[in-house]
Amino acid sequence: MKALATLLWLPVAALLIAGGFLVVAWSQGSADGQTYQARRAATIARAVAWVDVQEAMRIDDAGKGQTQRFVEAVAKTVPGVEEALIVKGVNYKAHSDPARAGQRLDVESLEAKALYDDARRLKANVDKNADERAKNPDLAYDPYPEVELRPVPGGLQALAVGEDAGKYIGTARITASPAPYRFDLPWLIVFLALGLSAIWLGIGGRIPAKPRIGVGVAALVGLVIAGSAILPGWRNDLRRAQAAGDAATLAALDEAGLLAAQAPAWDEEDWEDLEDDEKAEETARITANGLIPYLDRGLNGALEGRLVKVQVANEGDATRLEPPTGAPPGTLLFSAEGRSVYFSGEAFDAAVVEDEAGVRLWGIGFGIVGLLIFLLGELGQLQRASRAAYKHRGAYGYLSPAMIGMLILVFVPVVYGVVLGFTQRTYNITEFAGLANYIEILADTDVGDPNNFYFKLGVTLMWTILNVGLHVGIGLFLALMLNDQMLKARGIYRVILIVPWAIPNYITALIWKGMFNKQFGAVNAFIEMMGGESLSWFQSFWPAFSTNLITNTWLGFPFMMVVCLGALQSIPTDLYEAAWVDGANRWQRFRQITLPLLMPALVPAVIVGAVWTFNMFNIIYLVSGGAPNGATDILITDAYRWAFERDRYGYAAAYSTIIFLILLGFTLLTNRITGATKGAFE
Amino acid sequence: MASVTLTDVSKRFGDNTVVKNVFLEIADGEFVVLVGPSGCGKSTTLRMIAGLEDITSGQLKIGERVVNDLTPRDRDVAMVFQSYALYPHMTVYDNISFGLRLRKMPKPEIDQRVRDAAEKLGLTELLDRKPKAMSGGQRQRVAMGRAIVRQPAVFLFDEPLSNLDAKLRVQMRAEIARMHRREGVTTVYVTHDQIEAMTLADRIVVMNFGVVQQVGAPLELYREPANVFVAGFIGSPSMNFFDVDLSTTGGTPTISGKGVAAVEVPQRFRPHLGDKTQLVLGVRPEHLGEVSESPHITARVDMLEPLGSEVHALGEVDDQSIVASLEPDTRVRIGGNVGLRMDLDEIHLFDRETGVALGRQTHQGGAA
Ligand SMILES: Nc1ncnc2c1ncn2[C@@H]1O[C@H](COP(=O)(O)OP(=O)(O)OP(=O)(O)O)[C@@H](O)[C@H]1O
Ligand SMILES: [Mg+2]
Repeated sequence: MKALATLLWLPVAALLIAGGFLVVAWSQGSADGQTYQARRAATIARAVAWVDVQEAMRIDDAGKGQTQRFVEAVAKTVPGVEEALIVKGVNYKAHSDPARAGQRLDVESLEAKALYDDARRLKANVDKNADERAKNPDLAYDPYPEVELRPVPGGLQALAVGEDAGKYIGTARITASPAPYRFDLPWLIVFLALGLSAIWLGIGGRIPAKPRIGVGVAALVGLVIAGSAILPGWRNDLRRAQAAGDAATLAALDEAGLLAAQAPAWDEEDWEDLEDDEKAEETARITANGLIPYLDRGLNGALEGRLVKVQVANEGDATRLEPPTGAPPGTLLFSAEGRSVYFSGEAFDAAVVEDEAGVRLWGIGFGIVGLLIFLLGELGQLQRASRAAYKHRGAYGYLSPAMIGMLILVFVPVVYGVVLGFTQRTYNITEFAGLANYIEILADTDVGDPNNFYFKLGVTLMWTILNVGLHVGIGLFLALMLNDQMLKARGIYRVILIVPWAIPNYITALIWKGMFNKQFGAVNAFIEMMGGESLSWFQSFWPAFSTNLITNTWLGFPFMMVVCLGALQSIPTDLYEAAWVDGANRWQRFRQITLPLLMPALVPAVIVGAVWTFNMFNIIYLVSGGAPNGATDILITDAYRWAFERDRYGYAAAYSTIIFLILLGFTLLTNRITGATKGAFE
Repeated sequence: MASVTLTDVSKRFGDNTVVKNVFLEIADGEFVVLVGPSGCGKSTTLRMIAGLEDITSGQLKIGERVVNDLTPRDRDVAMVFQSYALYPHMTVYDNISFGLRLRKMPKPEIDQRVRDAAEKLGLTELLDRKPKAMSGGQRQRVAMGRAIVRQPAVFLFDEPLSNLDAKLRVQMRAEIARMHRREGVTTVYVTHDQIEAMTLADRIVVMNFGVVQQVGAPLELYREPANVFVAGFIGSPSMNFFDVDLSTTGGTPTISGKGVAAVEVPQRFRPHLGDKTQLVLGVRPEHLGEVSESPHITARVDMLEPLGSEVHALGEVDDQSIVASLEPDTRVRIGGNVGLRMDLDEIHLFDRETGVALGRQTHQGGAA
């Protein structure tokens, strides 16, 4: 019986690892499917808007009807696209249903009303941007506006606006059904795990106890390796399917007669004859001028560099499923309905490698968990733990409400936040982004820019150091005064000085903000009364930073004062008298007796104070509000702005995780250093 | 080294005068002990000498300097506190060298002095410890070390041994005595343990309610207490007192009182009797002898405390308690009666009204 119990751990661990792989495969697969679907819808929406712009900009009639042809072709050839349309004002300029092309929107229907509102809103954006650019010529014109994506029942919609240098042309909308993407479970892993377990149960009992653990570990490691080898291969198919989908989009463009006009086809020989730099130049030309920039953009609008060349095959030439010899080196070919698309092999491989690494990582993670369970089970730890849990079930019972509360309120949100940091989200589509957020935050070294992470870190550090320094300095000074036996009415002063602490800090912040008001503020009134010149406190960095600093100093010193006062009162007067008799003057008594004996109380307070100040959201947000231009924002307020003002939750989560790591490092470091001061009263 | 002179020194806290008109001259190198009941102003007096308390009125001189307005750091005194007041964040070495470092003494000399002091006090092994990690006796020695390295003009001790157990206290007492003999530094020492006072002091100052009752060598205080308070305070167990009335029968003055048979007043008191009739008779327990015939006092024994070399009998005479020191082989039993006879050469008589011993001129026995 006992032998069987120890044998059971391998099957448990093996099935857990296999299950883990399945979960990863399924979740990543469906996430990829979603991303792919969104990406394709976005691409097509942009392309439709672009085609429409081209048509509108033509003086001659050569392009007339091309948009209508294109939307029809898209709906026909691209798998999953159900409807494509262009709307301007109250009219459909083009519609994949030819009957509705050129018709008015049926404003009675809710669906059409929503479309009308969306188009109006996007037009307003274009107008507003044009206005801004007119006022400020430095603002860059982005010809590739972001695409709006939103899920609708049974699929999703992508909206893209067409504009020509600030002139609104129309709004394209694509409605796509879920990706035509088939997800195969990697059954091999499941069978491997089941087979392994069966074999183990058959012969495991005959292996002596010690080697048995080794064999078990080897079996599980093998399972993990097999799993991480199988998964990425399976995922390459998915990539190929995506590329084929892109080819279908291009086929639609060609069918609308657009490709020939935009992208000159290259003869294989001609392409061969080009020098390397000419090839690059030509690629860039095609890229810059033609459709490719519209097709080759990710969800967030960034150029991906996947498409390098578009080639229209000759009529009836259906043989080119292998890359022709003349294809740019390192490209992959995909074709649909006779049209060929060359993808950059490098970009494709990079994506695959990144994916593989991700899957391997997950695999190894599950492997480690599985191995731990196996080892703990074999060594009897798990049995012992469960026996202990049962034996002390009363205690654990009492603890469990608190533990569950902690789990839900602390652990889950923290883990969720950290995980969120590895994702990127565009509108409602969240995708796994690896370390992209972290790289974006940390690799940007333009430190002069107020929105740069290192600039913010510098401001935050300065903010923290100055604040804590002032809090401790003022707090200690006042505590020394209050502790002086000679001072009359100490109780009254003590109460008054604690008041700033007792008032909710956002009220204090708002009061101070009002006092720093340029026109009506008390501070400027005072300055003027003294014959000075009133100041626009929030127009430049240092005055704005000072308003925060002054407010937070006002709020922060009472805490340090109370801490110091408590610590001072615990220092026996004997010590001062002894030092006095020993020959110490006032300063020496402070330096040699008071200060060292304050340390055990002061150091933890300073650490806590530093952490609080580092994350002091309220004051920055309410007083300077980051003015001017976010320069006085600290990391935590900036993280807030990334999340709730710029809608980049993943980026904000990564930001917060970095803040957390900084503070964690700080605390560990100080704890280690201050281990020395702990000994003062020992 | 220096003498210390208090001239008409008083100290008031608000309306409360806790030290009254103290005159005291302490010679250079002398060991003076202040004793008295709790709250009598010993510490206050000592702290005034140290400079930790202002002097309300009067004059304080250390050596030839009037130091009334000097801060402690300028008085060249060293003080050992009852709590030891060791700096908790410093090692023993740093505690001892603290005063020297403040005076910017060269490092090698500091080291020399600290090691010498540590050697004398047996602290060499402990120099790197912090106060928390030491026993009470060790801390006490560190406190003393801190005082001696300074080589001050005056040592001040405020009940330095009261936090130690009995055995350590005896040891440290010897240590202090040895140190004083070796260094010969003027020392003022506060205690309320009279054995400490008797064994250490060159002279003892007895205080009560902020007033100096008597100043004198230990045996002088024992033999010739100036008043009832000193008589009762010095000596252990303390002196027995009886209210007695003076009557003259046939030309010889006789005293008698409750529980005490009539005795003739010894010759030495007679010139000082004047017209007083109400007196207090004092007799120490060790001057009461057990007799079987014609006792002066017959007491009922309530309790016996055999100490080996003697037996203390605690008893009662006419509702007054009495203690007698008897021979170890006494046959007295608890509940029985014992007849006691006073050694008339050793009895004391005091004026019942003023408490002053007969033969003494003034209430206060300040050093002249
Ligand atoms: N800072 C002070 N303020 C007011 N009264 C004080 C102060 N210090 C001492 N006293 C009073 O002065 C009197 C003498 O105090 P002191 O400390 O000198 O007594 P002491 O003889 O040392 O007693 P003990 O043997 O208990 O130490 C006491 O009644 C005390 O209450
Ligand atoms: Mg005292």
